[in-house]
Amino acid sequence: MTNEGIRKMRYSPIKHPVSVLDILISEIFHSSPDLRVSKNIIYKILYDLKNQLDTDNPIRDTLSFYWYFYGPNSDSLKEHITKMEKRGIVDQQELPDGRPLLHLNRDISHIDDNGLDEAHTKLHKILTGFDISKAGEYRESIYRRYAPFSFQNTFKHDYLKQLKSFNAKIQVKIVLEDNENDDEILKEFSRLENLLYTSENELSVHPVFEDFQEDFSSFVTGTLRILETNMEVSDFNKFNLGKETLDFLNDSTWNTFARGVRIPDEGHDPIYNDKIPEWCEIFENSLNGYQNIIDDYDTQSIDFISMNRPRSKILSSQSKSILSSSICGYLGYGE
Amino acid sequence: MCPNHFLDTSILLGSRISWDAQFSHVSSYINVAGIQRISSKRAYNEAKGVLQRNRRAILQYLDTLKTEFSNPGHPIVNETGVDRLSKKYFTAIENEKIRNALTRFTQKNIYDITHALQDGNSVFDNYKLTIGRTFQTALNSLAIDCRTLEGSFIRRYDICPQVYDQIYGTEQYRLIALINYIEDVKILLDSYFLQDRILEENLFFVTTDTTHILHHKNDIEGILIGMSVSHPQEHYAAN
Repeated sequence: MTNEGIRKMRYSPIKHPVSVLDILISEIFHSSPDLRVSKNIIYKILYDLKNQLDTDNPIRDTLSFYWYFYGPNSDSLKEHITKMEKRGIVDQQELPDGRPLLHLNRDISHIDDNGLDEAHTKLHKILTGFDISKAGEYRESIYRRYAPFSFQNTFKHDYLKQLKSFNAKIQVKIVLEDNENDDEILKEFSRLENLLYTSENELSVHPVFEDFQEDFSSFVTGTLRILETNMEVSDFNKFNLGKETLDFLNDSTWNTFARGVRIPDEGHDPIYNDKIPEWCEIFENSLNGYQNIIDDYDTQSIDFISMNRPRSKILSSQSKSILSSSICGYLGYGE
Repeated sequence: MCPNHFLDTSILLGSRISWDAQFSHVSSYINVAGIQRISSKRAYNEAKGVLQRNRRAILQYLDTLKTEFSNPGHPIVNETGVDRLSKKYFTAIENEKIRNALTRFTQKNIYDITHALQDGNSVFDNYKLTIGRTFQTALNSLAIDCRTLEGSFIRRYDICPQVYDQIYGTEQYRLIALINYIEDVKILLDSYFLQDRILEENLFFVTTDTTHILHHKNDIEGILIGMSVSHPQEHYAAN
């Protein structure tokens, strides 16, 4: 926070009772002139702060979160920010694209509160390194440091980033009709395969994801069909058809998972425990919808293969041994 | 007119490994001409689920071995060490079918597993990719063979009900008492539903599942009137 910011906070007249949350949220806006941020960024900064505060700092109890679509979310902070809007401390403005951003409307007075000195120091440190133009990087760093399930990083960051790079290379290949990068594309495809298999296995960590894991496996199967076919297409329309299908499935997969990630203890602060039955119902409904999407995806992806690459593969002796041993074992056939 | 044959999960899976001596009867059967082969979405999904679960279980098992062998005080990375750690890993697996699949996989592939663990990360990653691609090939061939389109090699019907309590409540009750395994009962009822409501012709239910189905052939045929339960070999031998 700038010195000017601290001065303003200390000397502005008290019009309402000021709380610790008012102070902390206002401080965020003082990190750079005329800062405008989304509620989601505020949640992330304060989540970061909570995780850096000493375990006995009472301010930790005023900050409560659960993981959701975009990372740490907070009903209590959302409610508090709404109250701050009503009191005229912050204003919400919409960007031309409809995204609502908050900015500080007026300064508030300083208060003394147990634990606030430590919070000031640590928040200052967080904000010093914070650059709104790099909010995406900051969001990712929150995931990397704190996400309770490794699937969140493997799928949302590693896999989706790799997919973007893979798609870009294929687009170049199609436009330039150039096969020079085929080796690199194959390597990227292998990386994508590994990331999908890793994501699939990372879901084993909690029983809440058991049903989702089954559907996610079908997602992996369908996705590999499309990616493999897209490596070989020479026509932009076919490539885009596969890419659009995949984009939709990636979103559906993440959105379904995100409705479940807050349910395990690791996904929420204890204050939200009474929300669990409601969240379970939402997750179950979402899973039902996802199952239908995945069923369609199985057909779509096989149509995609048949349309583009109808030949079948011959398995090596190593592959035959892998497949027959596991299937025989599963079906209960002995030696 | 060609006879209708409903293929259960064991045939859908067995026909993916036609080279295996234990499934030679499935391979011979699947090549017999003049049969209208059908199946249901439930049987297809079960076969697909088995392949996907095995893929997951094997890759997870290999990752665990890799981690265990990198821990201080780990056994020497040789076939004995792999066998020792594997047995310890398998005892913790609750699902018997997965445990059997992994045990058999390890017995048959211990040389490749050991080498993948000995020869550095890239060899290990390549072996994992081989496993993933093997299952992917099997999943693709299953999906291509088993489609809803008329004229598909195995025509899949997606119209069977989710539950049978209302339409075949009595049959379901008697089959559960007999077989005591609801998933198999539902697949039997899928075939009965197709015979009864869609094809309106008697059909053969073809399976290699001795424990749940073939042992109870006469009783099942007494409950699901018009259906014949058979082993693939009966049709191969007959032709």
